[in-house]
Amino acid sequence: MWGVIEKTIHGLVKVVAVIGTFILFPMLLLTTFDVIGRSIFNSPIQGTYELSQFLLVVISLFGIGYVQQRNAQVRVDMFLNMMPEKVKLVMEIIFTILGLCFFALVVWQGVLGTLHAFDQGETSPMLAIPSYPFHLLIPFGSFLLCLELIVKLVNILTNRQLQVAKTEVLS
Amino acid sequence: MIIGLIGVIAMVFIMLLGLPIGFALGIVGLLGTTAIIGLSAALPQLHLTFYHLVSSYNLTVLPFFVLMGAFAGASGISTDLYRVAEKWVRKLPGGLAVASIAACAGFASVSGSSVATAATMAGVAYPEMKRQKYDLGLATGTIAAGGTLGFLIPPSAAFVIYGIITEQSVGQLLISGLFPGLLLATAFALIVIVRVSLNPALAPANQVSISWKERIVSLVDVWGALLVFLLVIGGIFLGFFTPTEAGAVGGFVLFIFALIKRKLTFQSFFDTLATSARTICMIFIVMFGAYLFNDFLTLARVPMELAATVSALPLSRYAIFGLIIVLFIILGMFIEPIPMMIMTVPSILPVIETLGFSPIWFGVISVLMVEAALITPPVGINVFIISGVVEEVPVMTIFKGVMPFLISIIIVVILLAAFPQIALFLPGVMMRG
Repeated sequence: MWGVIEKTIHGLVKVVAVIGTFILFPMLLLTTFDVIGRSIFNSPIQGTYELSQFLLVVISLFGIGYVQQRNAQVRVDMFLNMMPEKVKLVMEIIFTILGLCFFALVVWQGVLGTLHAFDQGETSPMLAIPSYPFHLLIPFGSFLLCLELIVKLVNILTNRQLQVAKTEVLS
Repeated sequence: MIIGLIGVIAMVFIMLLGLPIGFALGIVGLLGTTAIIGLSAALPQLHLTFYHLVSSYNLTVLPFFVLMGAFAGASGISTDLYRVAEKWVRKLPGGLAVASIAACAGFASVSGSSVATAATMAGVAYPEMKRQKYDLGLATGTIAAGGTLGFLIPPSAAFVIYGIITEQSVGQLLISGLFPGLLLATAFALIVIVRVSLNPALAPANQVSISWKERIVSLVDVWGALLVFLLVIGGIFLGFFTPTEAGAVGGFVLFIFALIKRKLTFQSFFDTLATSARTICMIFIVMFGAYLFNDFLTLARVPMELAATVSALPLSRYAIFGLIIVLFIILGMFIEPIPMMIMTVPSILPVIETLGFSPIWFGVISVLMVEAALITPPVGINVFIISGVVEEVPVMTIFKGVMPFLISIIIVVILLAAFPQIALFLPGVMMRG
């Protein structure tokens, strides 16, 4: 049963991250064609600035859950690695719960913030795109991050072992 | 002020225990803000801060600069640069190592990332140095150090992040890195030449001579890199592009190169995008926490009080600057370089400005310290990247090989303190876009 839930969450988070990844390229093309249009044909693409902003919101919030799935959070693990295995396990449980509490607050406040943006009827200046759907991505992305933290927590508590898979670094 | 200090100590403590940096910064930031303005005012900041961060137009250049490095690597520019550089410097002591540094500098001029530069050049330059029986510590250390140039020579993701957290002009910052970057590359090359002259056994000389005609003809092979550099950096310098536009155009041109050279499969294209997307997501989580934490410190008046306290000290401004450099070096041993900059610079910059230093100049200094942190033991990322690509060389050997280069970074910092114009001349004469 748990295996199915775990697979579903991982799968969902990954699909969302892949979508976010593919949006990166249209964002690059958008700005490129805006520059070409402006400098050669004297006709820039209207609203490039705000579209880029919206696309960046999508890319980043679609990806944060996957960062957690890969256990790729930036951290200082030098001292943690010196601890005995048992201590490490307990610390990891506490850290995961702390992260979960924090991002659960972000989800909650994100929903409130989105409702606020909806009530205000905020739109972008050039194309008049309503901004609340993008505000909604804050609680959405944070929720996926929370799901991954829950998966990690349950796995530690049931298997009593850590899957340390940190292969990523910041470039 | 007191509550701010408690916050800083608490944050450093839980971060060193191993809580992911973004979580540590965010949690302490939220608790501290709550202590000052109350829970009901602090909570909405979570959403506002996050949305403000991920919708900031200036940050859209970050994935573009990371993409530029990835597409440049995929298109084989690194190999061409290395071959051409080798033809020009073959006769110098340690010619292949000097060529590696030149090729790193060349690659840095189309890549915004130090790690990408180090990883790409390790695959290209190391096999050649090994084949010619170079000392492995010299070979790997050179590439680890040369790779750091990715952040100093524009385009550069590090300058973008500095510009955003300090609200300085990203365009001016990028341009300001050019001369210091060339200076550092020269210093790296001198280190190689001196070391090999003192101990010729490190690097056997290559006796095959090469004609001037051949050298000049070889330059044709690097026109692509040169074109992209002139387009991107020239465009920013002349005020024709914003950095975001320059990054997009540069990324697009390099993408076309990789396509024309038939070096891009769908899989490698996707991997390139995925790496860039993941990198920015990792940075954003840290930046989100750092924004919350720094808002708390500002509410607690820490940066202002810190600036007032430090400038009242009976020390010259260069002594204080020296202390800041020592602080960076110590932090760089424990914390990944970019997060280190994101965490510390907002608090340190007011001190720097109170002392009468330029914030653009301090951007160059900060990026130099990021570069130092990339190769400082025990967790210098570039060293581990190299040891990941070149599995046969022990990490300790690479750290030993990279040490002399670390010293030359410090020397460049001192030179910049003595002659700030090295950094400030170009942004001073650039067109404002």
